[in-house]
Amino acid sequence: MPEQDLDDRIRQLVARAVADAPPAPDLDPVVVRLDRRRPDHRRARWVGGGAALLAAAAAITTVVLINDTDERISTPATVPAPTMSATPDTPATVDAPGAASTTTEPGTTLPPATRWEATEAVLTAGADGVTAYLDGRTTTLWTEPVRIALATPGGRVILTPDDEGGGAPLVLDPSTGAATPLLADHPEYWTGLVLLHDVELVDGRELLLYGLIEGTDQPAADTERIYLVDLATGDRQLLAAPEGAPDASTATQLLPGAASVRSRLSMSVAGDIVGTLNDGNGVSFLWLAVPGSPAAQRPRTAAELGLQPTYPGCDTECPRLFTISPDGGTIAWVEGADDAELVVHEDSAPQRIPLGFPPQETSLDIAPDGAFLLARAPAPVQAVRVARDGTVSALRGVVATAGPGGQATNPVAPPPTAAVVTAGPDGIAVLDEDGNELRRLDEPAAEAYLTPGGAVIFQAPRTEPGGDVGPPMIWQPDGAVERLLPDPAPGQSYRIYDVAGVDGVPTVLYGLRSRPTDGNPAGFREQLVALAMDPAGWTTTELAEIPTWEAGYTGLGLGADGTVIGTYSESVTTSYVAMALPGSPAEQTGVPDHTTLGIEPDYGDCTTCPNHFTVSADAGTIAWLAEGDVVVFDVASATTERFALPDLGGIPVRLDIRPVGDGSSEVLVDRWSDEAEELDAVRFRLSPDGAVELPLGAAFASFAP
Amino acid sequence: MATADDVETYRQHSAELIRYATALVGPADAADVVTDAVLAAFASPSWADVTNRRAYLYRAVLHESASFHRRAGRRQRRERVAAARDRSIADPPADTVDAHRALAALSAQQRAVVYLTYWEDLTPDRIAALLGVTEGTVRKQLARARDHLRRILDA
Repeated sequence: MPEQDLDDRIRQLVARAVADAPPAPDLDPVVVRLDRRRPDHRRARWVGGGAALLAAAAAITTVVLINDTDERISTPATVPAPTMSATPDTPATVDAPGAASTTTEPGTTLPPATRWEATEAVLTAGADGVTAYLDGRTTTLWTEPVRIALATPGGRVILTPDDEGGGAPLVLDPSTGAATPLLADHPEYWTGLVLLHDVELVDGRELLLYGLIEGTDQPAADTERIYLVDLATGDRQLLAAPEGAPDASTATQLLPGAASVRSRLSMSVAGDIVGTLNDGNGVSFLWLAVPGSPAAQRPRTAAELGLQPTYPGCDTECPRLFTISPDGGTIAWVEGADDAELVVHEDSAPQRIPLGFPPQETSLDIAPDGAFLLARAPAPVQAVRVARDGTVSALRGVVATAGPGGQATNPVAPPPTAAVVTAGPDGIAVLDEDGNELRRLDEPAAEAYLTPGGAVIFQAPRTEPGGDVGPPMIWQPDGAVERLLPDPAPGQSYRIYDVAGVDGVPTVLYGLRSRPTDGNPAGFREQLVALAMDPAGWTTTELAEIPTWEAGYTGLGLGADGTVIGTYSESVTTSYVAMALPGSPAEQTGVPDHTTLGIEPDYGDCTTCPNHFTVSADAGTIAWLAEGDVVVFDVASATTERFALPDLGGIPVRLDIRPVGDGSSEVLVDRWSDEAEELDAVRFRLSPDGAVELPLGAAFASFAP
Repeated sequence: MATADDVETYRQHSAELIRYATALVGPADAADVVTDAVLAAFASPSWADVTNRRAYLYRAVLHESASFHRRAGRRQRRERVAAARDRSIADPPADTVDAHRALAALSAQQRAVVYLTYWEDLTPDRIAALLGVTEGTVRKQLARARDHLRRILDA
């Protein structure tokens, strides 16, 4: 459809919609209702879905908000509350020391337990997320609304979230659940519309084919450029642009100036790119080729398919939705209206498959088993599978896509590695090794910890002196912010200590603190709990229960083998704490005791004595502060090194350490700054030359596990 | 209680707000959305300090319509889950492009941008100012909405 026609039809569509407008509600009832209006700040209650719902949601707990009518806006600028679509509904608390583990359910973006073969998979995308169909089984890969999802030859999934922010593409690793933005380094990404077409392995390169429509003042001037991106190198190439476009000379192929790409393009391993074009005069078969690919030597034409070069003035009956199978052996399309058929062109005479339903499709793809994947419109759009014998079956979701024909031996280039997460009044930031910001959440936070899967666990700052920090939250890789744990009982609060991947499972170490209402000192207690965020089900394990009247843990670190190292303070005495998560490797091997570290079990009334014990996320290093130095204990060699730190100019409150190759380490010291009278964090590189401060600038910081 | 000034503000903009809400949520729920949005605006502590009340009310209606769709979406998801066992591919989809159903396929913000572009004939910068978002967001949402509607209208 030509752009001007589209504008006209949308204008008519809006006019028809607005023509149905009812009379404006009378003001009097408004005033009456205003009188009755009551402030309602009650928290919405959450209930978990039952077993049937659980099964229907493919083992992801669906949580339903009740008392919907309580939702009110406070001001138009209010950001909608985060959708807590998968908050564990079973309390993650344990009632008594040594209690059995309690199972909860996984969060929004947890991955499947096993990696799947992308080349054999069919993915569907829709309001319920992304579902993979493989070997007769379905697996939910993502539970937020998605417009389209494509399996890559390297076993990743590239998806476009269907969100208010414009749906920037993400690349998802199903084996870990980690999702990172894609194409973010292209400037047009921020204002243009990215349309994902296909991913394929061509000449050993994992290529993403996508369209970009740049926003303009005049909608009719929108033009789609077709790009190819090498997912391993990030190299991008303008494959096709409309004639007359400013950058048309840099494109390897040109499209008619008034043309629009009518439907999703598909790509074969040989480098064929097939789709449907509308040049303003009619609809036609579109063939492009990956430059330098075998396909570039053998153009495919409408004539060889028995088609006219173009079908003038034909929007609904002519051949359309051209697609090519991943192996390049099949080209298929849809034609006809009420008697719509799938036409399949292979080596022999074209096969025609009656569809048996109105041709309101918007997307066509060829599945690995030769079946056809259609999406039918208008709303509610439904993805269906059409077998060669014409049998139609429904799929979950709106758009179904077939896996690629090739399997990559070169996986997608890993995204920049997160090294540090910072927290402060201005939000949370995930930084790479060089301190560059990878992600930001503009939400004040007291502390933040990165999980191995790319999520961030954080707590909001205290709202009053002596008050509790906010409830533990999880900032998912897809941007969703959700409660990590159920609301604590009155008089209880949570405190996150550390996060690590223990035996490969993201694990959060936290305390559940209780304060008795009668002020009885004996009632001040803290349960130390490990939350294992296993995709098969979250479990909590209580590690210890301690009195907290004028006492408590001042910090705890968690290592990958289940080692827990920290500090316990009681009155004026400070003690070294070492324990192991039940069932972890550390429980088998044992954790270093104070004798191994060459320190006393505890120290009394001493501000410079060993303090702030911690363990690196890989469990290979234990560190502590003593007399202005940081002491580093290498677990494997049982050797100790001391590094003098510059004057911290404040009181340390937490220490973190990580190895950084070449035998050196980095430490983060979160401190109370005397000068600024606020918390801030400092970062040091420890090497034989001493401790060198690195730029940071944050109230709180912790290392990525 | 609404002040006389509030009453006048409402009278001045009620017609355009109800049209706007109709484009956003359909005629059946437009009045409720406008009512709730106006109530929320009048009850807001910041209402007295608002200088551009028209823009504020437009944002309030958009925000309320988004809440409406979230509530409706939850209801629909629950109903879909309950009905999934009975779903049959033999059920044909509607074969005409219904204006409200077509617009319902867009997000609330996309509907707002489409309405303001094609009914109010506003430019992206003016829509951005009205909705309190960036011009880039307006363009991006408009492009996405047009793409979505193109596919529906083509089908």
